[in-house]
Amino acid sequence: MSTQVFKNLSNSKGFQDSFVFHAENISVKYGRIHALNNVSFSIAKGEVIFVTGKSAAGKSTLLNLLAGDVKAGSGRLINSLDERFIAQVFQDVKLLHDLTLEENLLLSFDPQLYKSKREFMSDLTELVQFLGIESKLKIKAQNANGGLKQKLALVRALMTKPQIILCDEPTSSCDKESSIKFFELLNYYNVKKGLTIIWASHNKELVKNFPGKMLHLDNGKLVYSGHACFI
Amino acid sequence: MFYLGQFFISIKRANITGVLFVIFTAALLSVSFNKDKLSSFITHAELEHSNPYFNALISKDINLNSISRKINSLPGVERVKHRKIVDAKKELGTLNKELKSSVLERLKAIKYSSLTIELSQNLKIKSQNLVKEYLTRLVGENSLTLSSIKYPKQKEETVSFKDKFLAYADSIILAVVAFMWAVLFISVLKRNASYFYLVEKFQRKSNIKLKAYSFGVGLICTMTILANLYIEESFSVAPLGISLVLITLSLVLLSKTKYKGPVV
Repeated sequence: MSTQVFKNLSNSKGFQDSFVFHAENISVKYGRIHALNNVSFSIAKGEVIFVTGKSAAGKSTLLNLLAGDVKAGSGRLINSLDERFIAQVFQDVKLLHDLTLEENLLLSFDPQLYKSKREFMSDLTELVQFLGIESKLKIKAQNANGGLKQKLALVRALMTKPQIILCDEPTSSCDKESSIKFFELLNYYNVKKGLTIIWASHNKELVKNFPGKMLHLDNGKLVYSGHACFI
Repeated sequence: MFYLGQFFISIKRANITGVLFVIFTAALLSVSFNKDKLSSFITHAELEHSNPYFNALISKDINLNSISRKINSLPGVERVKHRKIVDAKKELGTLNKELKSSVLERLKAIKYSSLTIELSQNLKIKSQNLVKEYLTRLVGENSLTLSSIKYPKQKEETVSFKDKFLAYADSIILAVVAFMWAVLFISVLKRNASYFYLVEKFQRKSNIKLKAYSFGVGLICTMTILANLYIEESFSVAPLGISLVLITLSLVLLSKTKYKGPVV
């Protein structure tokens, strides 16, 4: 497809209503290594996408590319939304260790999104109660275990009222029960608020249990794109 | 103010380094502001009397910077130094021998700044008088009192290492303060890199560190300059300009940096 066609497509109301991302022949290289090699896909608004593959298959690179943290070496990526409407749950969690968990959550308080801090705290309380971590918010981030940190990272991302959430191995430190609760929460946001979920995981078996589309990567190449349960 | 708040949060997060950064920002500007005075203070005994010179008491209402610049550009003038008010009062005392007591009484009632104009070693008396006349024309007879030309004892031809060092001491002090400021600036930013990264990521804002530091450092600069102007109205234009450019360049470079490391 020519550049002009892409420009017209991305500017058209139809594209903005349907697709949030459209990637064509995307390649990303780190030195000589192809992190992503000629990858093409489309992600529609409100879709649940699982990005699977072994370690170093290119999952994190793909998510970083969608977040705007990595630039494509070649190919074309069209994003119909501003990067500011994308929230991330990082693989390494990214909490400030010298702050308490609550203080870390308060970093996501944006006065433009909430009428008052009270409204923010009310939404926050609901989320932490659902995940059962309300009694642990006063502990320092450096003393929290991996699962707790991941739950907190998810809450922090959801508190920014995103339209797209990118989760990079968000339940790698959680047990199966917590992982399911994690997904239930995201699914609620997906159904009620139309949140587009892009979830990277090396655990193909886990994501098979959830409804959604799967992009399976192998050595930077997209080898499967379809419904998760059909793989 | 959101960005000013973010600046103070980052200073608090950096603990002692943050406090030192604020102090050194003010110190850098103060040293730049008073570089000429610092030079006079350090080299006072060593260099002041190496050339023939005369002192001028000038009414405080006159713009000393402009006068110094014009006099300094004259051929035969080696340097023009601002002197402290205390020195100006001493100078009045030394004029006792040269002036009538009634004139002195009148002079004491007026607020003065003092300049020392050093002339070239072999400048003819006629040319010395021309410099004085030019100064009188610039300032106005009523706002100026001039001393006679003084001829200090000639120093030995050999210049010691100490003399050489003292001649550049003000510049060395300024360079050290600027270096320390840069080191502290980098340390404070390094300490807060992950903090700004997360605030940007989760509060849908861009370039927070640049905006926060522009507001914060801008506030410190303004307060320091105002405080210095309140104490002493004359200042060293070039060093102050260079310091402000250094600070501005650092802030511009700051906007180009992108945090990619782990959050700690």
